[in-house]
This record gives sequence, C-alpha cells and structure tokens, in this order.
Amino acid sequence: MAAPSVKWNRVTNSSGPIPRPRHGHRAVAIKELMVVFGGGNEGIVDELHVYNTVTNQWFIPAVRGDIPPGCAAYGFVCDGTRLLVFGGMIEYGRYSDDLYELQASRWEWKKLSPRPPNNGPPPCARLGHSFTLIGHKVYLFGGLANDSDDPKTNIPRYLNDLYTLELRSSTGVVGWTIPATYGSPPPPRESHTAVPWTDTVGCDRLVVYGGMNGCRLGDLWILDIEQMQWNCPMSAGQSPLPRSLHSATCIEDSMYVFGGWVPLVLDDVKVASHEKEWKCSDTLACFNLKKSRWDQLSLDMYDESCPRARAGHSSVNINSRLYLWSGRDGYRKAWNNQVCCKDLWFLETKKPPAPSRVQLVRASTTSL
Amino acid sequence: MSWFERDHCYTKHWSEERLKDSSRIIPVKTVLTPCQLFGATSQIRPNKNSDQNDSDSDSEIDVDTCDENPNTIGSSSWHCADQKARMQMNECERHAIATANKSFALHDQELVWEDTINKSSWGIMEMKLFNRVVSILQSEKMARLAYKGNSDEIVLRRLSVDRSAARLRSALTSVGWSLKLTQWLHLLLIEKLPTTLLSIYLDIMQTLRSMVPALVERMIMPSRDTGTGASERLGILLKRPWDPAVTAVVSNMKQQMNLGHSILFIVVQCTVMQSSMPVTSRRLRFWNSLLSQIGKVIQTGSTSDETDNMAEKLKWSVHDLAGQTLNNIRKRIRELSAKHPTRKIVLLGWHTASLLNCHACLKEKVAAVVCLGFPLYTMFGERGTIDDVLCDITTPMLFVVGDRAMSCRVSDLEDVRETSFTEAMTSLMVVNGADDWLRVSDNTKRQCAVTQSMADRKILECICEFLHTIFATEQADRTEGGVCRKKSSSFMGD
Repeated sequence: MAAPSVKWNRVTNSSGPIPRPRHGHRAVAIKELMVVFGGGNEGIVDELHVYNTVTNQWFIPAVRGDIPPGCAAYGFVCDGTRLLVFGGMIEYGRYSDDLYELQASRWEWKKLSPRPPNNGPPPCARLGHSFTLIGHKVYLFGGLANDSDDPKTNIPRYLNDLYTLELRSSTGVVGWTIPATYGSPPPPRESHTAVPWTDTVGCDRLVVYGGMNGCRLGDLWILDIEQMQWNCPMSAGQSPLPRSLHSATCIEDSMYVFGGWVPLVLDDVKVASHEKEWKCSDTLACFNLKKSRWDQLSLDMYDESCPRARAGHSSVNINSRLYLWSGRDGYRKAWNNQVCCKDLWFLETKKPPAPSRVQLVRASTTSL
Repeated sequence: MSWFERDHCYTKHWSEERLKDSSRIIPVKTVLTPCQLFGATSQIRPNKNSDQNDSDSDSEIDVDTCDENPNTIGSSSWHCADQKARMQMNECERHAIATANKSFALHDQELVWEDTINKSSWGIMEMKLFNRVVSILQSEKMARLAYKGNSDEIVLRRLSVDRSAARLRSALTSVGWSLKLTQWLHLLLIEKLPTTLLSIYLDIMQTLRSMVPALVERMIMPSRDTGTGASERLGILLKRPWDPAVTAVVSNMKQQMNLGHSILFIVVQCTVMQSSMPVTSRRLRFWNSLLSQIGKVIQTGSTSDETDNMAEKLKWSVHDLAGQTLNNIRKRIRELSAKHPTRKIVLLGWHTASLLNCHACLKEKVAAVVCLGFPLYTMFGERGTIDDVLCDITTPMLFVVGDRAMSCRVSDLEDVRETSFTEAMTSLMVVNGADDWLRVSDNTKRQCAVTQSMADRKILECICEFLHTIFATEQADRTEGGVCRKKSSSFMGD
C-alpha cells in the first residue's frame, strides 16, 4: 500500500472572537462545529468557544445553568448534542471529580451526580486522564491524582484504574461502574490518549497510547470492549518517540498522533531510563489500526506548511479532516516564558472528491 | 516535580516566573515627569502660604532649593553655562540698545512709535501683515514680562521665541515670502521699532534664520547693503541663534559615567539620501555632536560610499532599501570590529532604523543597541510575538520612546520586554510628552521648562547610564567566569 498522503492547511482569516491561546484545553466535534472548553495559560479559562468549520467563524454561545469552573487537562466527550465534562485541574494543585453536562442545543450546563459503583469508590479527583465515549458508555482511564490535602504541595499518584459511565439516552447518566477486565492492564499514566475504534467485524476497541509516568511512554494498549480484554499489540513499522500531552484522533482505521513532549534524543548518547530533558515535537505519526502498523506519511515538511512543535493542544475529527487548535508552543527556547500558539490548522487525510459536474442553466433571453 | 510544573502549568500567573528573573529587565525610567512641572509653579506657592502656615509646611513644599541649581540638565557644568547662556540671550537686547534712537525718552517711544509711521500709502496686504507682526511682537513682550525673574527664564524665553518664530514664519508665508513685502517690512521695523520690541524682533529673526536661512537672508538683504557698521553687526548677530543647552558641555559625562572604553557609535539612517550631504536634519547633526562627546560616531545607511547610483536608488522598494541598509550595517560592524577589536560597538538608530539595528545584532556581535523610538506596531501586527526573530536577541537593548508615540505604547513595550525579549538585557526610558521621533510637545516643554535640545541631552545621559550599567554587568560576568550564563544558553539551544 502506498504511503497515505496527507496535507496540513492553516486556517486564516477566521472571523468572530478568536479565543485566547492556551494549552490543556479539550475539543470535541458536533457535526461541523468544534467546541473548545477550558485549558489555560496564566490562569485557567472557563470560557466555551465554538468554531464553525464551514463558515470559518468563531462564536461564544451564551451559556446558562450550573456553569462549571474552568478546568484544564480534563475529560470531554460528545454524545449527540450533549457534552460531558469530568475532572481536571481547577486551580493549582486542586483537581476536580465533578461531572457536568452541557446540552449544546440549549447551551445549558447541568451538574450531575452519578451513582457510585457497587464494588468500589467513585473515581477520585484527577487530571490528565482519558475520557472516551464508546456506544453509550464513557470509559475513564488513568490520570494523575494528588495525595496531598494541601493544594500547595503536590504528592502525585499515577492511576491506571478503569471506570465506565453509563449514559441515559437523552440526558443524565446512570452511574459509575468498575468493570472487570482480563489480561494485564496498562501501567499507570497520565496525559495519554485513548481513542475509540471499531474494527472490520464491528467490534469496539479502546486504543490507549503514550502518556507519562515519570518518563514518557510510547506503548500501545488495546481494550476489547466486548471481552473487556487488555492487549498489547505488536506494532510493525517505525514507531515514533514516546510522548505525552500529544493528541490522537482516529479517522477511519488510522490513528493520527501529533506533537506532545518527547525525550530529547541525542544521537551519540543512549537515552537513560530517566530522561532529564524533553522537548516538544512537531511530528505527525499515523498508526494503522487494521494492520497494527505505524505508517509512513508522505507530507510536505517545509517550514510554513505544517504546524510548529507543540504540546497540550487538542484535535477533533470532522469529516475526513483533523482540526487542531492552539497548544503550548515548543519552539520558544526559554522555558521560563510559556507561550501558546494561536493558530488553527486542519489536516486533510483524504483527497477531496472531484467536484461534480456543474450544471449550467442556459440563460433564456426570451423570458426576460 | 519540575516536569509536572512544566507540563501542567495552566494556572501559573504571568508575574510569578518573571519576577524571579527580573535581573535582565532594567526598570522603566521616565524623564520630564510631571513632578518637574511643580518646580515652575512652586515659586508662587510658598509665598502665599508663608503668612498663614509655619515652617513645617514650608519645608514640605520646599521645592525651591532644587530650583536654585537646576539639575534638569544633570551635568555639573550646567550652572556656569547658565551665565553664558544668559549673556547670549540678552545679546540682541544689547545690540538693540546700542543702536537705539536716543531722541525719545524710552517710555514715550514705546507709546508713540506706531503713530510716527505714515500708513497712508499702504495697501491692504501691508496693513494686514504689519498688524499681524506687531501683535506677534507684543505677545512675545507680554510673555517675557510674565516670566521675568523666573529661575527658568532662559528656557522659557527660548521656548516663547521659538513659538513666536513659528508664528512669524506663518505670517510671512501668508504673503508668500514676497520679496517686496518682506524687505519693506524688515526695513520698516528696523527703523521704527522701539528698543524693547526691536530686541524681540531681532531675537525672533535670529531663530527664524536658523529655520529658513535662504528666505531670511533675502529678506534682510537691503538693510545689510546700507553698509553701516550697526547693520553689519546685525547680520552677524542673526547668524548665531542661542540655545540654553548647547552652551552646556557634557565632556565630564564620560568620566562621570566611568565609560573608560572608547565607544564606537554606529548611527544608522534608513532614508534614501537625496544629496551627498551625510546628515540633513539639524537635530541629527546636534545628536551626532552630542554622541561624539562620549565616543566616536560613524554613520551608515542605505548609501555605501563606493556605489552612489542615485537614479537606481530612487527605484528601490522599501524591501530593497531595508535589505541594503542591513547589509551596510553588517559590513560596517565587521569592518570596525576587525579594525578596533578592543572598542565597544554600539548601534544607534532612530525609529525604523532601530528595527534594522535589532536585526543586525542578531547576526553580528555588538556591545549594545540603542533604539530611539521603536515601531512596535507594524502592518502585520505587533512586534515581539512568538514568531518574531527579535525574541532571540541577546544583545543588551535600550529603548527610548515617547509616551505619545503612535507606533509604540509604553505598556505594550513593557509586556514585550518581559515576555519576548527574554534573552536580552533591556532597559526602557520613557520621555513624557514626546512623539515617535522623541520630539517633546510644546506643552510639556513649557510645563517642565525644557527645550528640545535639553531633552535630547537628558536622553544622552540615560544612554550613558545604560552603557555604564551593561558594561559593569559584563565586567562582573567576566570576572565570575560567566559559566552559568553560558550553560543556560546552551541548554536553551535546540
């Protein structure tokens, strides 16, 4: 099979109120809309922004109800026209375990209190977890908890617990459950990604990639939803550098991974197990889920044609495109000043179909 | 937990990290502040208060003491220069008295001089022009009376003469500088004006001559042709405008600031020069002479010395011009640093040239960059954003901007200094009431009792101070090995 040909395009001239650049935000797609919430830079943002990919326009919906506080590195899923928000950092050292629901049809927030699981405690407050919708259940995996009561001090604990959150059909949730799983679960991690994928026979999978547990991870884990069986698939092809705070998006049978923090690899020095230095990456990797292989992408790689290195960004899939907005700029050398990118990009994963023939209506001069 | 702070630093407030590393940001300095403004008004206030209030309130508002020896100019030699300036200021008056018509008593002369003029043959133009000029002279006289005895009299005199000169210029322009009319007017005024008004008139003409020499020369021609000794002296007198600050010297500034190293200033101009004259503006000439007191001044610009093809140059686009100027700057830096390896090279430029200097210092090694006016806003947005190459500058930079500059707001520049110029030591000096080219507004000049040249001198002092600071820190870095700085920079390099 030939290398998939993809192309980055920068969106310019978008109208409307362009949101402040940030990182640690999340984005989901509702039809052709990209909804962005939370994240932060110099303070956590509590604004909700919506980008219309068709009209190239940003807008700020007027929200009402139990408006949640701003949060960063939280979980965000979209089920039809409702959005669910769970966890994240709400202020320095303080993490949330609240669940909020936003009805996008009315732009109304509601705080939910789901039933705790029968066989254990509800999920603890955390950040950097994954929150993935498959069917009518949301899968919560991993993240980072703070074991300290004092928000000023940080005693981090990496998690690898798995919870499912069953949704009611139109609004509300049934409650948390702790499902029994088989096989060895992935080691604890945070700032990883988990994307849903339906294989050729219609079986749902949860694909967990990368993350951080003291050092950056580059491993892939697949959870078979029917069997609740964890697998660590063998992958062919050249795998990218281990990373966290990247974005991963599943489009058809490919998982596109972009950016994130990667260890600083020096050619002559073997990387120790505890890397001391990291940098942001601007590589785009594509994992072919069907073939369990890292594909080589043919991509124009000259300077201005692809987004610069970043981390903590978010991406959504709309039709065959992957939209990417903001994130922390990895280009700037001074670590002291964190700068966030303010650009919006989309990745064209398929050649757009040839335009259909234009039917010209013959101008009839007689009717004038 | 450094990695955690770095990965998940969503909440970090902008000031926290920056305050820790503030050593590279030299705090903003403001000159011509409104507090200097009170110096002028305080003269009246203590007198008023002295009857009712006791000494304790007097000591509180005791601003007089610093007024006595005006330290606005900073230089210690200013005080003796004061006497000299006063002499010069009254030169026209002395001349007027010497040539005065002694037939009238001074007081009568003031009152009746206009009646002695026969106006019967005058046309409407003559009438209008004469009235206008007389009103200019009268209001100048009033202004002089108003600030007589004030400690800042010299400066205020200079300012009001400047203003009157501008008014006279516009009056003469309204008749198109017609040879007949102007010469007639000049002869008439020289002949008929009473002593005080004559001295004022000469003062104004002296100033006007420095602005438009050719026109004034033409105007005063007939009076010089009469050949009397007095009018000859008048011609010489008119050639010498006085300036309260020009007479002061800053030669001791170099020692005072301890700038032991000889400094090479590369002054960059980014205009296409129409003539072979290197500097056209009087102010830039003045600046060059100021700078030459603390270092050697070398000029460069779009014109390199060898190739002088004017016709081609006029076809240049802005891009070509900038590119060519940048090349010339770099060439000049390389030449000079090869020739004088021990001397410090400082780039200095006005407004757009300061941007070119910033670009030049990315490529070549210089000791410092001085930006007189800095165009922060461009057609393509603000400078100093993520994509800006200027963020990588490591050379110490001094920004001198006016708070009324259209192309740079002080608060925005402060932000850029904090967030973007993270690798360089930067200093900012704000000139109150000054525009993009650091021309101080008339209002501020009056309020702070300064002239433009005094403000320029103040700016020069700040430049000296800045250079002194950076050379001192450089010295300190060198003696301490400068290891940590080196290390951090290699760590930051990708």
